[in-house]
Amino acid sequence: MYKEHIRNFCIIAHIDHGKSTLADRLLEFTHTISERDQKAQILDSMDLERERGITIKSHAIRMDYYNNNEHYILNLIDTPGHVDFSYEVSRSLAACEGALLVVDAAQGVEAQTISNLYLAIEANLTIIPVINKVDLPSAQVETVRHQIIELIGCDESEILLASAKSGLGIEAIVDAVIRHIPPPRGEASEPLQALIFDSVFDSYRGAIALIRVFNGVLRKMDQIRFFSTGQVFLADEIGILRLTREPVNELRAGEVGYLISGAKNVKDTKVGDTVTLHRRPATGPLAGYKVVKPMVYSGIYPVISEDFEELRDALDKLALNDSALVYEPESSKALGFGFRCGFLGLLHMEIVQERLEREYDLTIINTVPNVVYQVHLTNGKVLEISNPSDMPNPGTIEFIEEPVISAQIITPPEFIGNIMKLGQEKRAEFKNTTYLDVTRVDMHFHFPLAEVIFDFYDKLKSQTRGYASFDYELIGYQDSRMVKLDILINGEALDALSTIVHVDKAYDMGRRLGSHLKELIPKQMFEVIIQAAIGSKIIARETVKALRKNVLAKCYGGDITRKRKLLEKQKEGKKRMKQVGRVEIPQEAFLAVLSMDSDSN
Amino acid sequence: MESVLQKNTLQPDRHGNSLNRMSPNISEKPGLYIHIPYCDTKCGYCDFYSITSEAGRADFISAVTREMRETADKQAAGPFDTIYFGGGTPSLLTEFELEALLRAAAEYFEFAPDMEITLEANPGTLSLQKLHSFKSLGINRLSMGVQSFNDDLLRFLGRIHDSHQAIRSVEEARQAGFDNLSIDLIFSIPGQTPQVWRQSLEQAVALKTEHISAYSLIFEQGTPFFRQMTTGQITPNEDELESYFFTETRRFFSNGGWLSYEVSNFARAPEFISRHNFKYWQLNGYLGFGPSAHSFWNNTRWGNVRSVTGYNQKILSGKSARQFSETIDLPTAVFELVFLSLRTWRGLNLVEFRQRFGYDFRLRHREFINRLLERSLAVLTPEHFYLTEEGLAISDSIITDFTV
Repeated sequence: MYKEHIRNFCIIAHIDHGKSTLADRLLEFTHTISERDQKAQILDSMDLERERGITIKSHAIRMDYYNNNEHYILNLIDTPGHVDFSYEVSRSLAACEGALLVVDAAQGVEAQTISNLYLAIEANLTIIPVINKVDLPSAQVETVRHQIIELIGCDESEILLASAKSGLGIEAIVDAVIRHIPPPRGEASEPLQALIFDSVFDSYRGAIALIRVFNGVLRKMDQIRFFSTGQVFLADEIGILRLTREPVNELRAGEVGYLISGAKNVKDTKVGDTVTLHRRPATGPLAGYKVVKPMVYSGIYPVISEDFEELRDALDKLALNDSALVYEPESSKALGFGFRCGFLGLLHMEIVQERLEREYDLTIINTVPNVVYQVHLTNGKVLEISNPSDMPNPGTIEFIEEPVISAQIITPPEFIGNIMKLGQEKRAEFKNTTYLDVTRVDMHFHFPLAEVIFDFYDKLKSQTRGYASFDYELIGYQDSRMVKLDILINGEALDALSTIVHVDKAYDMGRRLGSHLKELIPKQMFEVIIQAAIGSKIIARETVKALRKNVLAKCYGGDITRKRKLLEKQKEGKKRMKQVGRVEIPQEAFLAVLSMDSDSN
Repeated sequence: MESVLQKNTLQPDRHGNSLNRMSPNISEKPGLYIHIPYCDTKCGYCDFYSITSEAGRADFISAVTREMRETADKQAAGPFDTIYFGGGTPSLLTEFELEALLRAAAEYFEFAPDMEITLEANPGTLSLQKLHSFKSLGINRLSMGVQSFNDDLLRFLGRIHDSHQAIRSVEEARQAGFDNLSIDLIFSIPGQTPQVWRQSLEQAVALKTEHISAYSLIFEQGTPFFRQMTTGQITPNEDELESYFFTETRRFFSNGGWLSYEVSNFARAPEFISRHNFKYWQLNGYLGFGPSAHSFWNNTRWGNVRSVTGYNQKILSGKSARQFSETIDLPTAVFELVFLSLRTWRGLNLVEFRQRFGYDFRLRHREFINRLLERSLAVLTPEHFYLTEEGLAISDSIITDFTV
């Protein structure tokens, strides 16, 4: 195959701007699929992805296109659509030479589009701007056109108009892909360098790596080596990706395909790693490989303690396909045995929780998520603390650093005031504001990550009536006066409710958490004292008074069965509570920090 | 009028004094219950099955007597030592209807020599003449639905009588020769102050009845009060106030020397315990007749349809009127006996428990017992395990900690 006839590209778009629909149209247009075969949106294959309208895993598909007697190979590489997966996005982009920048004609440019666009520009991709949904009554083609010109400095004539829904402009897009996106560089004669841009687990075949060959040729049954681990495997099967996997005998420089080796687990085929030949290795890996580290941690516990082993099995299975998920067993005084799990971000955490409940039918309690703190001790040591209960004694701490993100919020200008206020509340440092056009402002802040993982998204949405969009990247750590806030129930610290908070917020938080817990913990046969404490200092105290009367007045012959069933039901309800000492605590209480209404009082 | 009891082989008390000589008035024998579903008006709080029309009235007596006959054929005989006419408003029955029912019972079931025959009576439905006829039929205990001696509260509750009628009915019952009287009272009614409640209690005690039932108002699902609560028209008392009423009520009776023998039941002396009702709390057998009536017999509990006409139709066409039936297996029986007996002042009889279930309750449930003893919510004696006043007040919570 002539390299000159290959085009590797991806689509950059905000959620709901029509990325998947556009992909489907391209597949149809190139006869890769017939309309009949179509499940809506072929590329999003997980149920959850389809429901949430986001892409969690990358995918790739090869299309053949014939034009003027020329045969082109178009490889569309789909990218994950969320900031939690930005590293995976960057690797997918690295596998391409060009990108379609798709902007919704009614919604305009959004924060996520911009951050992914910047990644694409950094990766030196050729950008083809497309305004989608131009046939919507609410389309504002001119406004959006100006936003795009402002953003990438292209010529007005380069911007394509399309409606993926109706098929308008699809041919022009394919045409532009062929004319503007350069063919891949790289030499087939060089030693093999292939980038793993995604890795999926198949229960029959083990880990399947999606690869882009940059240099050299990968042949079936070659002995291959992964750069990051040095592990050597045999290329049992290589192939190209259409709707199904199609085995081929070789993949040459410039091509995109898959690799099945003896690797069992996606942790062996790491995204971003370089594949080379064992006998004739390349001198070095391709640039850009990173070990992905979790940003957010949370405890996951089975509600029924006997489900611990089932939870472990489920996590093991999820991890086969999710190299970013880390977990290790931990035990909590309050919740028993469970796992400390690390996630790329909140969305990643929610997805894991949802899959555990849905696909594995487990009922779980997850503790309040927290970020990873760098704790500098007086003896010079530095600890990474991902669990509040591991926080060392305050006397031994010199200072604590917390992760900081650079955040971009794009909003109509009328909400600037609300956003500034929200920023203040969330300990943000305001950086600058740029007007994209008269209707859109790009605001730039530095936030402590910890402030964003709680109720930030919801608040931002409600403060801007849903108009603002938000994106961020981790930029480093900053010295912050953090303290551990403990909750004591009848004098005993409830480890699962400990949180790390900024000292300026600790008092208020302790008070509100205490009164919120008072609402959540039902009256018991004895008084329950809820205290919030920093170290040994009690900063708030609430009392759940003892239950003084709970007995039905009448119980005669006709009441007994009904009454017994009522008691049995109450008994079941009690079983779903966690017993901490003698106190029965409902599941909601463990997420009290999250359900707390910060506007109250 | 001749007492129907003389038709049975066994004689009633020869002095016409139906007073039970047992002390306390508790027996292991089974009882009979007959549900009379007719009422003049429906009270807002009441969730017992009753109707205010005369629907099915003509067939009702024959249906109940037929149900008794058919049940007696199938179930083992007694002797039974109680009959309880509950409702509805049993005192609306004519003496002929009542006589027919009693005759049928006496014909189909073996009676013990010392029957306790209770009739629920509403003050608004009574006259001296009627009371005389009840007495002469063999009824020897009346349970009067007084509910309150405050006329405003009586109207709020939807009662047809006023406090003067209530007092007069009690006095007339005495004149008619009833020497075992009980009155029902309700407390923790929204708007009722503890003072008003205390006056009702004092008035009841002044009438020198042998027995008083004092119930905390319950908002039962399906009642008008429940609906009014959900729409916010009535607001039930806060836990604190209800708990105050409850504790004060129990203190009132114990200070007055009464026996607080169950959550809501008080007897002037142990021989005035409601023998029939006590059977429920020690899981004795009982056979119930009439719509919505329940029975417990040979480890089975069943209940009849909640419709007079449906009931009549089923029974008179030779079918069963049972709407539900369940087998009470051993663990369920244990759970029921524990939760029911802990409602009573003597609690669970450990000796009887061992005889009945074949194991020692104290050994099997040591943890449960110890948790309660530690917090002074219960007391353990060689023969009994019972709740203290504090424990009784929260017995539902205590029971949900009990696992068979």
